[in-house]
Amino acid sequence: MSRDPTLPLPPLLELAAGQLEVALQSASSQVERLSNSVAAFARLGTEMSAHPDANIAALGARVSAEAQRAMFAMQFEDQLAQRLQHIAHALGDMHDALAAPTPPTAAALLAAIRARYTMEDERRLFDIMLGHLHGAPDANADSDHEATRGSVELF
Amino acid sequence: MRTILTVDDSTSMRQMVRATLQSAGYGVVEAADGQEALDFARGNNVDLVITDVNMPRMDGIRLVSELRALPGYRLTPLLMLTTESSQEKKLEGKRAGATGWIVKPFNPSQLLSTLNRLFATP
Repeated sequence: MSRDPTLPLPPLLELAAGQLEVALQSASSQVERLSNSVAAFARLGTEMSAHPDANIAALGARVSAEAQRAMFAMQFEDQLAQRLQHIAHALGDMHDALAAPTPPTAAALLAAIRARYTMEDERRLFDIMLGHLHGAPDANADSDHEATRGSVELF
Repeated sequence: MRTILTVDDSTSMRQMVRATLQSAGYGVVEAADGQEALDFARGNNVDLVITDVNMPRMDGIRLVSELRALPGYRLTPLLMLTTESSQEKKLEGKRAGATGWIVKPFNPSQLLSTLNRLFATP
């Protein structure tokens, strides 16, 4: 079945990118409120931990530990927001390419989209699915982002 | 009290870092991007900088490079805290003058022990 030539691809791509941006912005304020609350719990835990009453101090240590776990988990929202931003930008790039009087080459478009990624698993997925189109390196050559999360390297 | 400058364009990430640092008794100053951080650093010294890499106006690697050119920041520990984990980017950060590289999400207690190590180093 051939594609309907009247299918309005550029505006549809622009719409999809715009919807993602709106979703990200509306989620952002709520996430900030939540992270503010978690930070407040962390401060409370610290203050309670220093209390002269041993029971209150022990409770404070538990509050601090839970707040730390919540802070670690909440950072995945930051990663999710970045991933969605990269998708929105890729959709924008595709829209621009389709709408341009002189469209870029496929290789240039793919390279521009890949260059926006910041996480190894984004690059790996891109290379697995599209590497054959732009001669990307072997996807297995990249390190696994799961393995690098939280890693600390001092130079 | 030691003061740490944290630089990230995500408000929630800055809140997480601030809460972690304040729980250990550090003073915290925040900037939303590299340019804001550099403007602050030109008039103020801090004991350590923790910066994201991908930010509007000025990215973290450029910030590190600019900070290293300031007399008050030649020896200041400069840590990158980012989702970027490619060796290429890490090398770029190292060449710019970064002291270390932490991949998000950070573990609060691990971040604090890293700071202890850096502050213990003469």
